[in-house]
Amino acid sequence: MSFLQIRDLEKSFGGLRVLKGLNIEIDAGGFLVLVGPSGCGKSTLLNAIAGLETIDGGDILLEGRSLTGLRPSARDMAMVFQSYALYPNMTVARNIAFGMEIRGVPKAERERAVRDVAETLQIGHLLKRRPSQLSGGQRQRVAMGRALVRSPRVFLFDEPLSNLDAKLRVDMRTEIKRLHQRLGATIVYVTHDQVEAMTLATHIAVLRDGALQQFATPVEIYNDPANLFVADFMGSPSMNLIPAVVERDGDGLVISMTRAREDALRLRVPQGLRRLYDGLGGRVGEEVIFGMRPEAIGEAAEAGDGDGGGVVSGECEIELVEPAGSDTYAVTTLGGVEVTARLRAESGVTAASRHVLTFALDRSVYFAPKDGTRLA
Amino acid sequence: MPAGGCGLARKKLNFVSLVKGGDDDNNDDDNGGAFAVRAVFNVIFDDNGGAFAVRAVLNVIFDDNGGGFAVRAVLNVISDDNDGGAAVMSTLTAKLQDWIPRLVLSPSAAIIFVFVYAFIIYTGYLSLTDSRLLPSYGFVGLENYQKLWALPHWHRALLNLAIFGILYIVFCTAVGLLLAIFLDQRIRGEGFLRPIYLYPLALSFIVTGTAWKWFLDPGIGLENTVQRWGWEGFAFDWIKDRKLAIYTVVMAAVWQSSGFVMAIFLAGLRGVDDEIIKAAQMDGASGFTIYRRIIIPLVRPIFLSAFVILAHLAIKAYDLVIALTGGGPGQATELPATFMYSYTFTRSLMGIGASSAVIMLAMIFSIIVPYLYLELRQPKDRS
Amino acid sequence: MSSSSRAPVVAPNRVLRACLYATLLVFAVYYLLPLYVMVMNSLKTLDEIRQGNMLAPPREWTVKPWGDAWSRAQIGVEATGLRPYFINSVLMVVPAVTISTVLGALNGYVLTKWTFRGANVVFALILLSCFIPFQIVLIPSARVLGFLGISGTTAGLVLIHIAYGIGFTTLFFRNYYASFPTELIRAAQIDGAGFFRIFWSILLPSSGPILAVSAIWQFTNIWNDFLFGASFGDFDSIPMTVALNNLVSSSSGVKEYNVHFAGAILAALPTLLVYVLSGRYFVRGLTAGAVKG
Repeated sequence: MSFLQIRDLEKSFGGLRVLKGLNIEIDAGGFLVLVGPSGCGKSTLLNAIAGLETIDGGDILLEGRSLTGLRPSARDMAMVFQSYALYPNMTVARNIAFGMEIRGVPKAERERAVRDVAETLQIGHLLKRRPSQLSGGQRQRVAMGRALVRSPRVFLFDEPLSNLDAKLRVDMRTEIKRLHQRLGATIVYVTHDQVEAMTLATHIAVLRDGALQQFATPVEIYNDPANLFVADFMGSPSMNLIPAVVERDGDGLVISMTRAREDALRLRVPQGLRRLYDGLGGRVGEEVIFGMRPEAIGEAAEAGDGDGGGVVSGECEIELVEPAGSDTYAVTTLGGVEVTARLRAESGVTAASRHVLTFALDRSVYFAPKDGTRLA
Repeated sequence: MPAGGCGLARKKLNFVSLVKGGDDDNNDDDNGGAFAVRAVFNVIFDDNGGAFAVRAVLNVIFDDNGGGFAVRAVLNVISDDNDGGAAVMSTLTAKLQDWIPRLVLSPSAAIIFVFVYAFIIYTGYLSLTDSRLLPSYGFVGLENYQKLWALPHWHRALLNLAIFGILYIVFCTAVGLLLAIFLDQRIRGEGFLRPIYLYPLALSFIVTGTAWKWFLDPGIGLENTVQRWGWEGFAFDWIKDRKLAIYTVVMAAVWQSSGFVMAIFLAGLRGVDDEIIKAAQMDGASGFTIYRRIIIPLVRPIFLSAFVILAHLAIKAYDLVIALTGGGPGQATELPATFMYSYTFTRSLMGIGASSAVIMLAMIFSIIVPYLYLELRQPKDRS
Repeated sequence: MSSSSRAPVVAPNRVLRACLYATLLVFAVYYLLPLYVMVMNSLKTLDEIRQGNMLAPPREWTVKPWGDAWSRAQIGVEATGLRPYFINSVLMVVPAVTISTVLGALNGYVLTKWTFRGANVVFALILLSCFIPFQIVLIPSARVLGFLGISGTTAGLVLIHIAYGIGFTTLFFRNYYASFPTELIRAAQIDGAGFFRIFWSILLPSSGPILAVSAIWQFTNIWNDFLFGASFGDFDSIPMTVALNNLVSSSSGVKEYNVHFAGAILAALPTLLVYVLSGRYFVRGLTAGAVKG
């Protein structure tokens, strides 16, 4: 049985359905990231798990027991808030100990627990200060300390890093990951930043308009997106989504993309890729959205044209080259949209010249343009 | 946590000790008052099974965790089923928690309901009856209103209100805006001047009235003083003049309230984005133009606020007239508020008094209700 | 209100700035003059007032009018001075201010952090009560106070002032708590704090300024009230303002202007003192309802 289970969860504000029959479950020690654009319902879902919002249908179960009707404090969960929500009138130490104070934990025990947590998070020197005297990163640590000290069954994080600057955010991300590994805690984490989602999660739930788009591991989400929305939303730089037409050529299929001032680029689908033949065989003559991650497009080097590894190549006009240190991004236009290829840093590709690019079709995905459903 | 609480409670099966157990857990609580209240209830309801519900409610109200023990324990005893008991407990406490906010609000809501809305309805009803010295319930329809509108005295009060209200609003706004703009020019000594403009607001209208009554008195006040200075022909006896007395009320009222208008305008001017002004200065606009074309239009909502507040104060004006002129000379400074009081309590024509009060209310509500509607709507639209 | 000023909008032209200061000073004199005249003439003998220049300082300084006003002046039938009425006012103001402020704080807390369906309507109705002309409630108030057996008592006046003060205090606290981060409430809920504990431990410690605003507003309004005091006060509950008016407008005997002035200043003193000591909060209360944002 799963540790935390969300079953057919429904929630409405007024007449507006903000959570539409969600089903998600994770095992103990899992790191669930709820991700989606703002207004997708992810924070509402987190608040419902915390007991800060009532639910209108379905159920939330922890270790098989329903949490419905339980007050937030009775759920044995701790939460880290976006604004950190540190009590402004209390010292750092009292902020951390407040929950224990309410539960009537003896003073000596409280002090010991605060000391332990302070040591873990290296905030021992801050204990006597007030929140207003702390930097953003320090407040973040105190907020985590307040959660850690309770050793709850579930940690809830509501966009905890969004108020930090870029560098600190990366540091804290690593720290959260490390804490998760060390404590083996179960975590539900809300973010709109898909990089955070990919790096932290054991499982990701992608939400949009209150509906679950995909619930899977980060690798699956990245390589095997369930629909156009997930493909577009997850990954940085984002997936190339190119309008293309499926054509038949003899007994093979061809993916054809228009180009300005020259013939369409036609990529022959190797016979070995049964997945594509099954999914696209009935779509000959139709337009599809052809999805390629930038790193699935490369430079012609060792892999030749043919049915070998599922990689095909074509000559393209490179319009722009963006060196980014570890990689070099090359931009061309296919099907009327800009297509980014992620090349090695030492690539000799130059702008405004023609180069042969390779397309790893075994890693390509296809969506229906109309509703974004996955075709192959 | 729940498990620990149940364990603790289950060891003590009699009700009194359960409750005491709850209290023990609560010794750490800062809330001494709640502790005392619970202690009182323990004494009153001790060994009384019927107190279960009451005590559960009180525990939930006054306590967050310790009290939960008692409820939980009670329910465990009742149901003899630990899991089920915990669940029932949780639902019950959660339900009661839901009601606390409403319970807390209810005394105020009840007071407002009775003392404002029920009273308005009652006065409204009295205005339709033949009440004279005391309330009486003989229904006479709109007779009181007809009588009221036939009274020259009432017309005088309305006319005075119109004169007073218009001049009061115009002068307060003009003086207030002028002072606010001037004070906004990085004035040395602003911290000294501003409190001087504002202090009259801290005074009772009775005090203001007393001071101005004497100041305006021709025998000993300004007229007398100026005459003694040598201007023998100087005359300033408006307060004794039936035609002009109402203007003296305006003078005293403007003296008292213009500082308030200054304060709200100054707050508004200070709220105007500095960068907008800098941009206008870069565009070459003169100081006068910047005020006329940019700043004053930006604080337009404050004109509305000032108007609404001053207008409703004008309609309510009572104390100042009583202290300054007592409504006289004759009926020269009678306002609806003083009219209502004298008809109801001095002349014992309560029906007519009530109908004049209803008309005052209608005047104020016709200004205030649309204003509040706008004010309360806007934040909702923004979010 | 912010006391910081920005760069002057009007160019620093010498003549213009001289006019500006002149105008501001003239208005300062206008506002100060009545107070000055009251104070000066309260320290003169009656003879000197009758014959003299009201703007001149006393030739012969005397504090006798103050003593008379405080403990000897004839008010109503007895020559008690204003002292008993001052005490009446204090006994009325303290509980009325305390209770209405506490209720306002709780209401503001509920209306921002624990809203329920219909809460906005309740707030609108409470808010509207700030603006009613009190003439509309005078008759039923008298009846209800009589029914409760507290007409003519300080308790009755306290009840009335609470009823018509809740609207203001609720408005103050609601606006203040609306900008208080809701996440703090949620964090405290997760920490196990309930309704009252959150209020006591989290909100109240941060409510100092608004408590001051609310208490000062209520103090000023209730101390300065005349209509309710005149309508529902009896000898042992008549407040200072009503007594002052009786003193000043009593038709019997010689008009002792100097005593009247001393009395007026005595009546104004508590609110003036509060204003001088905490003008910042006083102004915030005034502008709270009028300026958005």
